[in-house]
Amino acid sequence: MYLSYLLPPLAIAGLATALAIIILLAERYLMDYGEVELKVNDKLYKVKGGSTVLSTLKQEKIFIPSACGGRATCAYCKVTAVKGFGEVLPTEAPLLTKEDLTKNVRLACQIKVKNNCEIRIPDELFSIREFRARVDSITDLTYDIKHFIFRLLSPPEIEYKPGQYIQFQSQPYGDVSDSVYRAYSMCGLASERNQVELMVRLVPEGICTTYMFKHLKAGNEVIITGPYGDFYLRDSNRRMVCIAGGSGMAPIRAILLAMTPEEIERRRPIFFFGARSRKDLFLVDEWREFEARHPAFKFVPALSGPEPDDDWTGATGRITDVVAQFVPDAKDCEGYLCGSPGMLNACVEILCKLGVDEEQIYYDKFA
Amino acid sequence: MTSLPDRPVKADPKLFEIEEKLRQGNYLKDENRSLNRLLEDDAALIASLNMDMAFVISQLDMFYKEASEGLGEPVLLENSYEVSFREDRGKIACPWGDKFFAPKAVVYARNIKTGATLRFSVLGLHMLKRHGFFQGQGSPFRLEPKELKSFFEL
Amino acid sequence: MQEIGAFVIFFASIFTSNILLTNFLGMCSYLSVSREIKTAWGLGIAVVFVMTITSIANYVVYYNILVPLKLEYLEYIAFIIVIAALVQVVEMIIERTSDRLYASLGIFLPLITVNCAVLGAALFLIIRKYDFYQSLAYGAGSGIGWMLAIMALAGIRAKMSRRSKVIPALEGPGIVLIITGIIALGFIGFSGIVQIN
Repeated sequence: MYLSYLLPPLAIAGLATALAIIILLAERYLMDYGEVELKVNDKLYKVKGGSTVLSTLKQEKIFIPSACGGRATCAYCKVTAVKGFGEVLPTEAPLLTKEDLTKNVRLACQIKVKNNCEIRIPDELFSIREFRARVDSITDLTYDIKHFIFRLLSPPEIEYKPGQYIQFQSQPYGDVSDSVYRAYSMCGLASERNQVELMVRLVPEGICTTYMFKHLKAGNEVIITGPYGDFYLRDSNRRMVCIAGGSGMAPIRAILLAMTPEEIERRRPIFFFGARSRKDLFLVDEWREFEARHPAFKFVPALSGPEPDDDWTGATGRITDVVAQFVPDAKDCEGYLCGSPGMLNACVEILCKLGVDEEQIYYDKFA
Repeated sequence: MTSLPDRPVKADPKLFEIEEKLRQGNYLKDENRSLNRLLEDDAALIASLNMDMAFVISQLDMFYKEASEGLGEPVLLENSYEVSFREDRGKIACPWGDKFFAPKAVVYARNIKTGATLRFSVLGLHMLKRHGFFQGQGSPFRLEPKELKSFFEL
Repeated sequence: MQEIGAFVIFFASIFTSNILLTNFLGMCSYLSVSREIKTAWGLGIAVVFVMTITSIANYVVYYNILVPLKLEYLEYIAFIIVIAALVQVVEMIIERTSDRLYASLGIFLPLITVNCAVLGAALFLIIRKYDFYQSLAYGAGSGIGWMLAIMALAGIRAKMSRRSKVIPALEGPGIVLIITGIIALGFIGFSGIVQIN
């Protein structure tokens, strides 16, 4: 009697349960890839299958550069897929160039480790570590550039070539619900291995710099990975022409501070620092002192638009013109540049014109 | 004027993917409308304001080109606009997935006669030009059609 | 309805009794996903896939569970659950077998769960009392027919966006519905070949 009332709900419940079991079984057998072998360059790793290359490598303590954290928007996490990965996916296609496609370059955050496979990455990525660090101090250099010192907690030391950069991970704040990663050059003494120093300029509406400027306080813990990059001092006898603008001073400072007195004597570095007006200049005294200690070194701050009350008697004009004025013949020089992409292009152009071999002009490619 | 309904089922799923990316990238900040609706509303607004968008875009393009050559120095254009350029390192991929990588750069412009100011990001200019996307309400680089109209005195 | 061959039903459900153009089912995604041929193709393939599988599954559920228990009136709710669950499983199978297909169909599969043409096909094959093979043919045919219709519309819209000027009042869904009507009229031309209902 009651059965006729109970039957319909029971039938639907039974059907739903049966389908749920099918879904669970499918998940159990289809989604479990078991243990697979991932070959990175010549090293073999036994990993759990099913995740992206980026997160699988992170488990194995290999850190591929990535700014967006795996959302296929930054195109930094490119790796060469040797074997075991299918065709290019629609999600990564917009970020791959023609050259990438011919060389089998793929986005590590999109391709998944499903069976035994092999990838190639630059060797230096193996030495990259993830560090927990504590903010030691934050000081203003100008109205929009700050100097950050981080003390490393674990691992306690970092080994890097002066000029290299790290990736800083921001935490969610306010409206921003994501963690993002951004690259900043280290500006401190490479011999002080227990700390990392950065110079950061506030980017208008920038997610990471706003976090660092408005939300980060001394004592906070942060995550950084590094070191990355192939911008460092090359060994030669050529004179060094260093050009920087804004927070681009960071890697140049790391390079110059790490040089021995003999090296400075031999390389006779000249450092051009471009700014708009006096309020954009910083650390001038430190460089004057450095100049006094090393007569072979020269510091040339140049203002492109000094204010009337700046009392500026130094070099004025566009940085490229100032360089041409101080180094009319640069045949025996090497260029070390850091700044905005527009400035980099203009400086490469002028240095080539002054006789520098384009092969001997170095700057960070992360721009 | 706006005819397509606001519900997900009825719109192009590609647009949801883009919308999601735009939300993550903070290009839609306080926007309550769906991307579909926003695009149509803004297009309708442009039509009702009787603005020549081709002219506006060509002006913005010209601002970008001239300002970027100034390397941060203000550049005077035909004695009527002053533009300057602010560039940082790094590139932003266009969230619409069209292989465009914008420099992290902002153009600031001032109408010398009226004193009105305008700022736009290079990515914002691209998204306006290629995708008709002005960005959402409250988004830091939204190009408000009414402000564009008054800036160019149209 | 035993007298109609499965192949005839397959053919008829593509052309003469196209589920979209004669029954006007599955219109919402048809109108909105027909802007580009590529996306229309993606959705079309997904619909073929899902419609074929769910037609068979719903046939089995109806005749082996609902009919013996005399619960035929539960067909709507039962079919919807079956469709939703199968779309999940199909999604997992695709993810396992082809990253590429998964990445391009991924966004369409959830849409198909709520595509009324899929439910419509299941209900039609019950109303018309098809047997197992006829149901299979009807499901696959309707899916292909739906894909054919959306591809045709996407092709026309792609051409129109470059060449034609549409009066503003008819832009968007307006002109699309008119085009659909004309395509449907065109498909009446097939009706002399074979007729099912």
